[in-house]
Amino acid sequence: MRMKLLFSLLLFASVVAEFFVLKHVYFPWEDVPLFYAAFGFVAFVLFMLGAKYVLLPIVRRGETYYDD
Amino acid sequence: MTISTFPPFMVFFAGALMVLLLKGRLRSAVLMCIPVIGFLNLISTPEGTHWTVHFLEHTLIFGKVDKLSLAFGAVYHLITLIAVIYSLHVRERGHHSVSLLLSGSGVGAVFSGDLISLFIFWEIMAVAGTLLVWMGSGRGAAPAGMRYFIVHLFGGLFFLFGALLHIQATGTADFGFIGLGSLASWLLFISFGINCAWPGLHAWIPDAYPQTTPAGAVFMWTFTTKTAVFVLLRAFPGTELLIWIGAVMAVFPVFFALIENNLRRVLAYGLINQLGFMVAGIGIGTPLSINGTVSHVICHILYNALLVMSMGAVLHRTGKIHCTDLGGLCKSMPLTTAFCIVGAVSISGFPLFSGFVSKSMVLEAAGIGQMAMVWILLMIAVIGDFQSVGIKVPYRAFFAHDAGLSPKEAPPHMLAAMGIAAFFCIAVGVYPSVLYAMLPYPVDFQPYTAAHVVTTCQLLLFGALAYLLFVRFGLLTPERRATNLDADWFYRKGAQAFMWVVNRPAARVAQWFSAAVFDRMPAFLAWFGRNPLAALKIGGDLILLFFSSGQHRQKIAQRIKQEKEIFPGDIMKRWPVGTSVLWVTMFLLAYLLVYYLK
Repeated sequence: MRMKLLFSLLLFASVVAEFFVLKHVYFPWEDVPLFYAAFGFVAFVLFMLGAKYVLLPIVRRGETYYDD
Repeated sequence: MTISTFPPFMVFFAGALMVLLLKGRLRSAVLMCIPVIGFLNLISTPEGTHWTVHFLEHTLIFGKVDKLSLAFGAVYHLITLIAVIYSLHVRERGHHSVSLLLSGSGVGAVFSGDLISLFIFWEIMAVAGTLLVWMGSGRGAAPAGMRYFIVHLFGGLFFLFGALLHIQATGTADFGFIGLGSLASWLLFISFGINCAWPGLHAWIPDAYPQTTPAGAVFMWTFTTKTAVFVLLRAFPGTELLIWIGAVMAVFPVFFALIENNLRRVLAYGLINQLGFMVAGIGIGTPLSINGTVSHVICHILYNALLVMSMGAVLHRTGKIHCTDLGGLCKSMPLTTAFCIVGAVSISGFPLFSGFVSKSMVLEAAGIGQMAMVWILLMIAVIGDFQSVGIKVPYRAFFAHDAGLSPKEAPPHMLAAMGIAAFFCIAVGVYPSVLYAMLPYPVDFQPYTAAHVVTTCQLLLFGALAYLLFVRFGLLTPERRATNLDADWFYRKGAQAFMWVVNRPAARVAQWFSAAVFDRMPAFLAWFGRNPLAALKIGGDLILLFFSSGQHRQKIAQRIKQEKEIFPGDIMKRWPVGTSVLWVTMFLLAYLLVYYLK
């Protein structure tokens, strides 16, 4: 429970802090508030879904596949 | 110029011989002394070109000492020290010797200044790597080692042909910037790419590396691929193709790592993805990106070794390495857990750890170059590292469901080795200026800006939030014992198909051929020789039979039957003069035709 609280605080702090720092951006989208948070979350979910629903059905075989 | 130090590789090769003769504590002491002596030797060597040997009409350079080779050389010595400490429990003297041979050939390669000596070290590295795979105890070690050897022989051939063509075209064996263009450069490019595990050429890493012993793994995970990065840095900086190769190889292994059950295979995919950052940095080719690649090599070698060592310790103590067999080890192996987490946090690039100060240089270089797509791919790869290695490895081994294992904590020498690596991971993260002083170009880069720290934290923390949600709702991919196919499918199944062709149709043709040549033909000649004239007559009648029909045909068949029955019959049978005249005329005609057509 304490871990959950700490983690939530960290999340919150990272979001709030963004509005107090001066960003030096190379691409326009970096200026969008919470861009990095959204990017991290979405990329993570896409990796999970891609691995589970695209790659796994293609490449998973029985454990002794190459021995047969 | 004569100098008082030795070529750096010599210390290792001499050590590799010496440990074969020693036993017990003395051997352990010598093992630890070798990288230390090597390092002292290295730092007393001034920059410049040393130890040149004339060979045929070329010059072999065993000491091209500049900032680039010194950076690689220094971290190779450090990791060798860490790895030999980690491997002190190994009893087989051959194991120590081969490990040092691998280190030494890596060191030799980064200091060699010509293609010929580089090729020699390249091949020694392939042989030493193969031997290290074969020393693995698993059932799959022998065939995996063989595949490793074949892949590297193949790569070596590309190197050899490329080098020969290059030397012939330029008239010199010197190894420096080559750049893509000629056939020779492409051959060298591909041979470097095989050792650097480019997409499609990468499958030997997850195939062979997880088969090594825990101690051998630390050496394997370090030298071959990073030496490939080094030669790319020397020969192909600023090659645009490398940017895309790097960006792709930073992303695709993450998917494979996520569905992999064997944690050392997860780390093998993690290695490929880390190489992606380096290769992309070489491709961008600006001083910042080259600095980024070199600093990433240094940081990566250390945190990757730390992760490999922690998994090695788990394998050493439990004999298990699959997610499905592990879990809950944090209680029985708390120190190993802590070291693994340091490695995991470093590879994920959290502030205050080494990954943060090196990865960001390559990303910054992509940003300055306005390479939007590359930047996005590398950013995705940062999340991929965090997810596939940073979270998955420690979580599955030390936390997750308790598998009921309660092994002892890792042996002291393993803990010491992990401790040294962990120390450097944190030290470099906290004081990056130590790292930046080693880089080939002057560094004008500040990783610890408020914005950079905040955005990185946001990126990673929200990634972690996604993970927690997946765990909370039970959406994680269930781990199962399985074989996940990769590009090695093509040559493993390809080889099986080849063997089928060899064993079935090809073998049948060969059988028929050998029967025809060795059985039927001599038998026929023997039969023919018993009475050539009668045999010719039978042959002539057979031809007649072929063209005839009806009653006539029956008559001829009858005659052949009779002839065969009385064969060989009377050899001295007299032939009419007319026949002889006919033969003579035919021969003369043949002679005339040959003479005329000639």
